[in-house]
Amino acid sequence: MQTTFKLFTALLACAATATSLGQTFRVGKEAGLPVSQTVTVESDADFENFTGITHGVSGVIRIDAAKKTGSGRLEIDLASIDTGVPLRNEHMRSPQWLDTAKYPTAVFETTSVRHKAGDTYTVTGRLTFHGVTRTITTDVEARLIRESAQSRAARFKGDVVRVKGQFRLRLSDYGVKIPEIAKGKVAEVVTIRFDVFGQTG
Amino acid sequence: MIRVLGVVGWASIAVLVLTFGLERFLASKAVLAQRVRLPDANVEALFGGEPTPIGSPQTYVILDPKALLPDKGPGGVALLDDGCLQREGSYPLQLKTVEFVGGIVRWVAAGLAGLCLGNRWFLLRRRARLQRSREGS
Repeated sequence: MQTTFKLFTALLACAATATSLGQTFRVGKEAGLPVSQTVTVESDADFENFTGITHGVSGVIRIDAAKKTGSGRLEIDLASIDTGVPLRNEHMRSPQWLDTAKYPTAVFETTSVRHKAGDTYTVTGRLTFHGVTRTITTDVEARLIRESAQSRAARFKGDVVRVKGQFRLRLSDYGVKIPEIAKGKVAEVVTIRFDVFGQTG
Repeated sequence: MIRVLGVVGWASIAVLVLTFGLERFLASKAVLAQRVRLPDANVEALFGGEPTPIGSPQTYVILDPKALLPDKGPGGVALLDDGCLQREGSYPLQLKTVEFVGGIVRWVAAGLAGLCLGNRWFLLRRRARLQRSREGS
C-alpha cells in the first residue's frame, strides 16, 4: 500500500514538473495581444481566386520548449470571414454554405505535436467545421520569443509565440456542398493559412 | 425580319471585336502580384518586417497603382498592400476572370452572329430566288 502511495506521489510530482516546464500562451483579443491574428481561406476556381480573411481567432497554445512539443486549441469565428465582397460574405454565411448561425466557429484541437527541424513542427489534430470533425496533419512554423525589453517595448506581455502554417481542406468532407449555380466560382478544395500570436502574460 | 437579323448579327460582331479589344486593354494592365498585409510595428520589432501573404500570387488588372508597394516579393512578384485596397474599397479584378467572362461573351457573340447572319443570307437568297421565279413567270 505504502509502495503504491509512493509511486502515485512520484507520478504526480513528474506530472507537475512536466506541466511547469510547459508554458501556456493565450491567443486572441481576450489575451490583450497588441497584434491581430490572421486566418485566410483561399478558393482557386476557374472564374476567380478569392481569399476570405478573419482576425477572429482565440484559444491557447501550450509549448514545452525543453521537450520540443506542445498542444493547443484554436477557435475561429466563421461569421467574421470577409471575402472583400459583401454579397459573397452574405452567401457564405447562409444555411446553403457555412451556415454560421448553426455552426459559428471552426475549432482545431491538437492530438500530437512532433518536432521536425528548426522551428518546424508536424501537428496532428481534430478540426471541427460545419458540424463535422476530421483529423488533419500539417507542418507549422512556431517561433518563440522570450520576454525582453524589446518584447515589452512592443507591448507584449510575457513570452511570445508566433505560429504559422497552412493546410488544404475539401469542403465536401465537412458536408459543405457547392450549389450548381456556384460551380466554377468556388473551389472544391480550399487552402487555409494561419498566422497567430500568443503571449503568456 | 431580315433587317432585324442583320442588326443583331452585325451588333454581335461589334461585341466580339469590342470584347477582344477590352480584353487586350485589361491584359496590358495586368500584373502578377501578391496581396500582403504589412506587419504592424510591434510584429516588425520582434519577428522582422516580412509581410503576411493574403492568398497566393494572382495576375491582377491594376488600373490604379496606388496599392502597389515599391518592394518585390519572392521571384520578383509585385506586392499589393491589402490595407490600402481595403481603405480604398477596391477589389482588384483578376485577369482569369476577364478571360473567363471574355471567353463566354466571345462564344455567345460568335454563335449569335453566325446564326443571325447565316439566316439573313439564307432568307435573302430565298427572296431573290422567289423574285426571279416571279419575274420568269
